[in-house]
Amino acid sequence: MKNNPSFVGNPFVRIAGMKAFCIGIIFVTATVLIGYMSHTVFIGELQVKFVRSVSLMQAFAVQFSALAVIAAVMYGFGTGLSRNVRFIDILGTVTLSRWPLVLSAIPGFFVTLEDPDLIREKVLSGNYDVVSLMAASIVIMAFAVYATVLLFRAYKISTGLKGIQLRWSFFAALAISELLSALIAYKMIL
Amino acid sequence: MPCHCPSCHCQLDVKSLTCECCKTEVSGCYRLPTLALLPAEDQQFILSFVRSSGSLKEMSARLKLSYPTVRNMLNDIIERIDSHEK
Repeated sequence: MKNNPSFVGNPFVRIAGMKAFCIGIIFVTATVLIGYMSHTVFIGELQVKFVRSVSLMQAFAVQFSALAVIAAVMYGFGTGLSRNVRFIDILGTVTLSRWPLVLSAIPGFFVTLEDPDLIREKVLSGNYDVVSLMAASIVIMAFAVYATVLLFRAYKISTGLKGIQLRWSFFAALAISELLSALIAYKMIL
Repeated sequence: MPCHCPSCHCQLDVKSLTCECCKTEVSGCYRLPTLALLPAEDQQFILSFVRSSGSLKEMSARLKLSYPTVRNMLNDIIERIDSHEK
């Protein structure tokens, strides 16, 4: 298997298992703390919400439940399709793949959270800073996409799957874990 | 070492072996062993694997790669060996 190892592109060639989990959990904790201060909540892998009132406990619960769900679903697919898949490898690489989200939590500091009706009024009257909201959204989306690319590489290395089996199982696992994470998160927050 | 014919890509056989000390030459038609058919990198990996007493953990520390990466490399070699033996 040819892989180009680099921390930015594919750190999992060199780091996996418990080491990746320990490094990743630091980033995940930082993401939750920064997100809590910037009113940003990460639901699953792809959803980012600006939430005005969420407690620190809820923020941690949402993030760690998303992590557990993604790791469990990917482990399920991995053991079903491949041999010698270790849960700690999947958990470690999946956790480390979330490191870019710590940067996604920062734009929330520059976004003003207001009532949606008030925002609509301001937008219609031309008084709302749409530019900063759009810029924040683009930055968040870019890092979320990057985190998803890393997640794919984490899944690929941890399971050893290739080709079409790798692609369809990854998308299926991602879809299922996004759905489950969203259900759990909305029950916790709402 | 070339293992396949450059013309028709069939597997090459060994025709003769020579002793460097007494110049005795042994001729015949000998099939190359499966290990010799593998690329040099794979052969080196297998040697390192044996030297590590079959421990993937030790291999990953020696090669400075993650455990699943080393395991995937081993799986790839197993696939290549299986394809040669078919």
